[in-house]
Amino acid sequence: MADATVLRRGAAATAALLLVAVAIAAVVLGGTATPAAGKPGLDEQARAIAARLRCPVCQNESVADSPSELAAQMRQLIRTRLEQGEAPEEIIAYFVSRYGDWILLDPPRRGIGWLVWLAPGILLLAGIAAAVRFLRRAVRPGAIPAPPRTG
Amino acid sequence: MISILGPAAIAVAAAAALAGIVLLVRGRAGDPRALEAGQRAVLVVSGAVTLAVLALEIALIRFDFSVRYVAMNINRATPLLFRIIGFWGALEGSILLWAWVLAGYAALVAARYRGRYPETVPLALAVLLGIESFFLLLMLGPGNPFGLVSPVPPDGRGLNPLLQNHPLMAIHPPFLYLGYVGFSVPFAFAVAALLSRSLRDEWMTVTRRWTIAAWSFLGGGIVLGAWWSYEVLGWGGYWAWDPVENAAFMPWLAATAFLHSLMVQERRQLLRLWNHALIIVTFLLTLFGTFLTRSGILGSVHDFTRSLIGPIFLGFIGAALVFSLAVLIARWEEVRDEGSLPAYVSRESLFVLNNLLLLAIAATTFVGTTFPLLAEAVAGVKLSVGPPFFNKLTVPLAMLLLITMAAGTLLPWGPAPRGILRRFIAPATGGVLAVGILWLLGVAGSSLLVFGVLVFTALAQLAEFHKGALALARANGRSYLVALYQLFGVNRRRYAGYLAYLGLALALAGVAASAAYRTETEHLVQPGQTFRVPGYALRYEHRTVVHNPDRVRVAAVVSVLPADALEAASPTPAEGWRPVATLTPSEHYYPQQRTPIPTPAVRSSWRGDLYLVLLSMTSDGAAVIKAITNPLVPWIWTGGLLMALAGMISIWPTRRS
Repeated sequence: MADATVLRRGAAATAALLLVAVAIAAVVLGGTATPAAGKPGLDEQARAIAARLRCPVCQNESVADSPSELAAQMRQLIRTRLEQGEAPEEIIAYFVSRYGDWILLDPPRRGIGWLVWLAPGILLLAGIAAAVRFLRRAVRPGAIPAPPRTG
Repeated sequence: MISILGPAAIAVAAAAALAGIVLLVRGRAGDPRALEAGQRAVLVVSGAVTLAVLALEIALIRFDFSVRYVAMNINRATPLLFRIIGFWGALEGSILLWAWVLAGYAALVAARYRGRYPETVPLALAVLLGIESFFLLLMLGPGNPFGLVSPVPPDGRGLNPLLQNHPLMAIHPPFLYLGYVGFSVPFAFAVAALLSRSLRDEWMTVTRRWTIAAWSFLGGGIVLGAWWSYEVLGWGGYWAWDPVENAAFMPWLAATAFLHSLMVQERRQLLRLWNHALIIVTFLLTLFGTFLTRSGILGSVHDFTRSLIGPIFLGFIGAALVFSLAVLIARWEEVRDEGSLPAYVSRESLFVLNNLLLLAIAATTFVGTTFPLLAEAVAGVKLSVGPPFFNKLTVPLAMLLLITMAAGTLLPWGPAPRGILRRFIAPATGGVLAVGILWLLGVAGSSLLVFGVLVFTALAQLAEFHKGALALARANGRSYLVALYQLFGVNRRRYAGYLAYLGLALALAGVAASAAYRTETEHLVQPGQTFRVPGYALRYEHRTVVHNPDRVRVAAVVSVLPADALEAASPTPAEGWRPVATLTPSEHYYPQQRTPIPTPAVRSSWRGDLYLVLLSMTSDGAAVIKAITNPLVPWIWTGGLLMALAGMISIWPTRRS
């Protein structure tokens, strides 16, 4: 019976710790989260568009993050066009027409661009097939005693 | 003098390395004197390369501009610390650093395994010397760090200002290289075990400490690099999926997979081929990473062929691949699995799944990193692959990975006992509760799911610590906290693993929160003017200008006002509030750089960062300041370094052994 008491005490302690941990996590994450609640405003929309475009004069920086003069102008242009009521996709299409597909940080899903989107999926499927094959071959229930060591 | 000493040392090292390979192979075949001489050759190599490093350091410290590398990378105004680390500031120096670290590792292997595993160790040393010879010969050819320049310029060009802006630059590259090069050791043992038909299921246990040390250095190097980027580059981010970052990330992923799968082989004599393949891939990725960051191919595909180093490097990667595959095929019967798994639902299966996901993330990163290069080289099409692509594909994989990691912690080795699902109740309830509370607080969308998975993963680890500590405390009558600490003595490897998972969950919580809830605003302010950003009231006090020998620093002095100021209806009476902190975002003007380099100022707390960047300053003292609030960013550094620390804990010698 002593065992049962210890077990119960262990369970109670576990529950208490769990509650404390969740409460801390929730307060922390929630505290950081509140400001951005609600509908995306003009700023967020503009930033989202700028994050998808490559800064034409930098090495590997997005328009959103680049400190360059040109990127600043592009951000201003995005804002202006959003204020005039253009849809994000229209604004992106405008930049593509000026700079080509190269400006897009996620490559367009057409032509050779398909390759980069499909290749990871194909590799993943091949990996899943290999893993399934391995497990089906390797799993033999009851064939082996307890593992030789722990850890 | 330096121009003779340096190349001479490298020539001696190269000769000793090549001779060492022959001696070690002959020594293993049964010639004890050759073996002895071969081991001595390893020490000669490391001594000679060290001499070359000293030669280059002396040239850098003493401003010897007759050496091309010195003239290109420092100038008279470069401070001592940055002259010393100028050693790895560019291509040739990095090659020397690779060779130096590898020579050091080889010497340690020779010393540690003297007289042990006589079938395998000489061959492993020969493989290490083979890799070493490549780097040494490269330095005798086009990668010579001691090349001269004539006429001798009066002053050098100076280090890239970005590299001399922060002391993190002094430790990030050595960490990265200690990690990269460290994987050469398990790779060499893997090849040697196959060639000698010995240590079939032990080679990865024998080299486990080397692998984990390399993994910790590489992981630490990646985190320090991200931190440097955050503290120096001024865009308020730390990870851009830049090829240079991906180059370090890919071998880390492959090595993480290897650290899991080697445990399956140790226990079950399974995954033999897979483990060989993984360590080969890890090693090749470290070479590829060095190639990618140092060959200039990223600047332009066409630039790359201007120096011979890039093509030679690519050729070496190909040769290493062919060699590894040839050894595997020649010893095919060695890598056939003989063991079996007792059940589908087991920690072993979850480790297979975890390997699949880690490799899927690595493959996605590889495809995304190389695709623009291939598209341009093969099809002549210029395309970009950036953060939106990588985030879309890797975030779901990472979430699945976290779930398999949590489940792998909760499931035991071997067949799962009845009622195993009960172990999932507490962490899963916690995850669901967290989602509910966060939802009530206004978090929405995919962030909700991400935080739920992170809380579940973290709780699964904490539950194991808790369970172990309770049992231990009951068994030896010590207090709970003492028991918690003693767990690492009872089973260091297991609890260090849980600690690493916990670190990963912490770091990813920081990534998720700062990605979803960062705010960014720009402010044009006059001296004395107060302005607000979400969560903070700030006052721009005045500007300062400091003239240093190597640069001019223009800074805006900004006060962080107490929380009361934030709540006050109008914080305008500037004198009324005593600042709680002062931040000085600044711009640095270097003579060798046309545009100024902004240096951000960061105020960190455990809840997140306030990050200020000085965008411009007018002559009358008005400033344009970008203010970013970035929640939970310090968690990334804490979590990442906790993972590296966990690695170090797991290889710390136990008192018994």
